[in-house]
Amino acid sequence: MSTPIERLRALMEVSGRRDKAAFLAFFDPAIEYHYHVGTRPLIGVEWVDKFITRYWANHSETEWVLSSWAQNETQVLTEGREDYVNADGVKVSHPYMGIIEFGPDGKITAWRDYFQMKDPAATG
Amino acid sequence: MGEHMKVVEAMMAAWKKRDVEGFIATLSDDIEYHWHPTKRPAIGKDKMRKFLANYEQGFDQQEWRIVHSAEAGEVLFVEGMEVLVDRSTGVKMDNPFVQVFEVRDGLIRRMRDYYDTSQVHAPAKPDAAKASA
Repeated sequence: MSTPIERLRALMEVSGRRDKAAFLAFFDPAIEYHYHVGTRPLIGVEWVDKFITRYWANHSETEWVLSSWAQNETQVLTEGREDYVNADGVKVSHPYMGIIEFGPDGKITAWRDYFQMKDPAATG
Repeated sequence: MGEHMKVVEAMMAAWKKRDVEGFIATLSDDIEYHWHPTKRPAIGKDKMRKFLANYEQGFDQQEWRIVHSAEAGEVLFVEGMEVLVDRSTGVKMDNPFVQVFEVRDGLIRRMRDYYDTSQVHAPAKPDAAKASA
């Protein structure tokens, strides 16, 4: 079976094409998705479907950049940024750290993204 | 346990004893610590000593634990939880976090923290604390 980082890169590829059916096929039906740690998670692939539908509708010119990562047997821990233009036409470069966990069948069972929700691109 | 994790565990063990110099001894001279997602990093050991003093003044860190980790080359990722008490208000809070470390020759040369500051406010600078006292 492929490694966590290989599976994540495959997911990023379909995400870049905005192929929703292929994107959702990566997730376990009972996925627990913390799109922002600190906010209530989305439980179940139906909620991921709703989330990504809305996200893609409100974000254009999206680029998902992985700057570093490390993996163990079941998880890949990633650091990177997401560049996009938001619904107001504002360009945002959004640093984040995300952890993706895979089940025995290779499906994503948990995902936790850590970032600054408010004003994510602010610098001191 | 990977070699990088041993260095980080030594750093954590020193801090749990509030052994500042023990903590500093795990860092390289050119340490660059991105302690806050929206602020400039602390660079160098002297800045780290100031940071630790400010942090200790602002917060009583009662727990600091790592729940997941992975290493690749010089990089170590950890996900964990700290329990803090804001000394100015007495409010206790859980702060889930992730940290990315870069370790070379047994010393931490880069640390980057990711968490949401809406849940944990930065510790006040000593001068600011005096001014508001």
